[in-house]
Amino acid sequence: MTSRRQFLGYAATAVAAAGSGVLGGRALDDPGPPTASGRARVPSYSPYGEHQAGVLAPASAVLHVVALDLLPGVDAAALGRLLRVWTSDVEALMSGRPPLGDPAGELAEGGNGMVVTVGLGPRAFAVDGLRRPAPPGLVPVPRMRHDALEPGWSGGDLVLVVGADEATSVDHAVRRLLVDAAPFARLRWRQRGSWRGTDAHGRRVTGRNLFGQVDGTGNPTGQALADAVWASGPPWFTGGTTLVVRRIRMDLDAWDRLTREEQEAALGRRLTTGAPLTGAHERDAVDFAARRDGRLVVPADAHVRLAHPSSNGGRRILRKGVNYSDERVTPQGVVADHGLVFLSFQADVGRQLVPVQQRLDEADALNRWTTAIGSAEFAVLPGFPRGGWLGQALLEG
Amino acid sequence: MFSAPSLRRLSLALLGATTALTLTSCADDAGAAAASVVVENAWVRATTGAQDASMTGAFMTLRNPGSSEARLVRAASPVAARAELHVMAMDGGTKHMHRVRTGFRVPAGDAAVLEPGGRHVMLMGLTAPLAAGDEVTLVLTFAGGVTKTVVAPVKAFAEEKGGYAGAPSPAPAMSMG
Repeated sequence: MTSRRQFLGYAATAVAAAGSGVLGGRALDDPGPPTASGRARVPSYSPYGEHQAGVLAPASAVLHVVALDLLPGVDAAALGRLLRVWTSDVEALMSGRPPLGDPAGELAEGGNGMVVTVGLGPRAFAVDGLRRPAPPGLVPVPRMRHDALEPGWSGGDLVLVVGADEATSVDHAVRRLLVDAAPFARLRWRQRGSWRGTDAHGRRVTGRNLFGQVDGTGNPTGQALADAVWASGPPWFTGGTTLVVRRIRMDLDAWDRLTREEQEAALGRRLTTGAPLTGAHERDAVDFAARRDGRLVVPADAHVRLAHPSSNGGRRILRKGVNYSDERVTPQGVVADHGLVFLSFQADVGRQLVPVQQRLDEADALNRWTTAIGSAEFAVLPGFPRGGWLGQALLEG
Repeated sequence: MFSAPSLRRLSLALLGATTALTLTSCADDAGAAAASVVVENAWVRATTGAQDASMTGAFMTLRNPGSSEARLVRAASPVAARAELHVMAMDGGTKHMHRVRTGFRVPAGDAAVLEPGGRHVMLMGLTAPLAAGDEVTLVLTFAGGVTKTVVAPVKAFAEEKGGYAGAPSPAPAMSMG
């Protein structure tokens, strides 16, 4: 019997052997040890598992978020074909092998921390022949008062989040994924970000945004992380999550004119260590009640206060950011554009991110220097086992 | 009581038998070699949108971990009326496609790479268009009679000059079966 197990699990593309020898019909079944010699180095992230590895992976040094729109006429069967093609690409890229038919396969050499995550936008659930609706946790983020959303950075029917230790591998991987998607979908937008997740000694650190702030300290860990991120249903979506991508422009020129004290008060953390203004170390709990000379040490409009679960009925998300630097052509000439590609993972957009976002929109001190110019929501598909494929449970059965 | 012609026939038959035995012995080695061949990274070029959707190419890596040479001699697929082993080769300064009747050698401890622009399995008389993401079953027959069945995904691929979908270029050296 030949199953998809044989072909999607590459090394084992090998064989359903119907071998018959010349003498007496002696069966010559393929001994088929699929372990291969000369295989690329062990990847940092496995393409297989209950969840896609990119969700919990720390922000890559280079991270591209790529949205595509489905072409007219793509139905559920075609969507399934695309996801099978992408599955084989993801397996290859994350294992340090060239995707099938890659004319520049040398660029896929492993040891680069490659991690690819695939998700579907709301319209992907509306294609002909797809019987299952979008998961209930996939709802749009309503327009915020401070938003200045641009269509060119918003929406999308499909998303790829492609990260690696360096940019050439990411450029190549995104190129292959887009080429292989060409019969089904076209590029809508692409956001290129970077993150420094290690210190001068190579130790893993939280990392900083372009304001210089240590960014991401408050993420949940352990069971709280699992509870925040993984959707509990519907059955096909078990192991999945939702992703909100917001492109947040940062006014670095105005920020630079503030004093360090003003910058730290806006966030509620020290710039040097990321420690709360009421503590000494980055991971210290924030003391929101602390006062000095009668005034709150962490101001009422500090970002850390408003974003904290204790201000939001315990609601938590997994936030991940990567910095971007870009140029815009304006009537006045070329203008530098800086900011954060903000990624928020949560089981349910409407119950977790939206209330927190609304609270920040009302009062966050950082609103003076930040503006969301793009926003998009996706359902991140559950992971797949060797021999399976992305979206199999959604599209089969 | 044998007539001369029948004697000759008998001796030919005996000679044939000897040859057959020798071949059987070789075939056994070949069969053993072929049995250990691992087919990797098989894929088939999509035909949707191609100029000629009646033909396409199948590509793969045949890895032979064994100690004797294997040889791919034949291919077949339920999606094609017939399949042939072809190679693209330089001929008079341009690339042409030729049928390779002797098959593809898979050297011991080495691999044969079937890839666009080189050796490939030509699927001809396709029964239906092949869209990216489809799956195609390929049955590969090796010297010695060993067959291996793989399911190969279909991928879109930019058509090359003298590509796999169009009619093979009419090079003098080409002989189509």
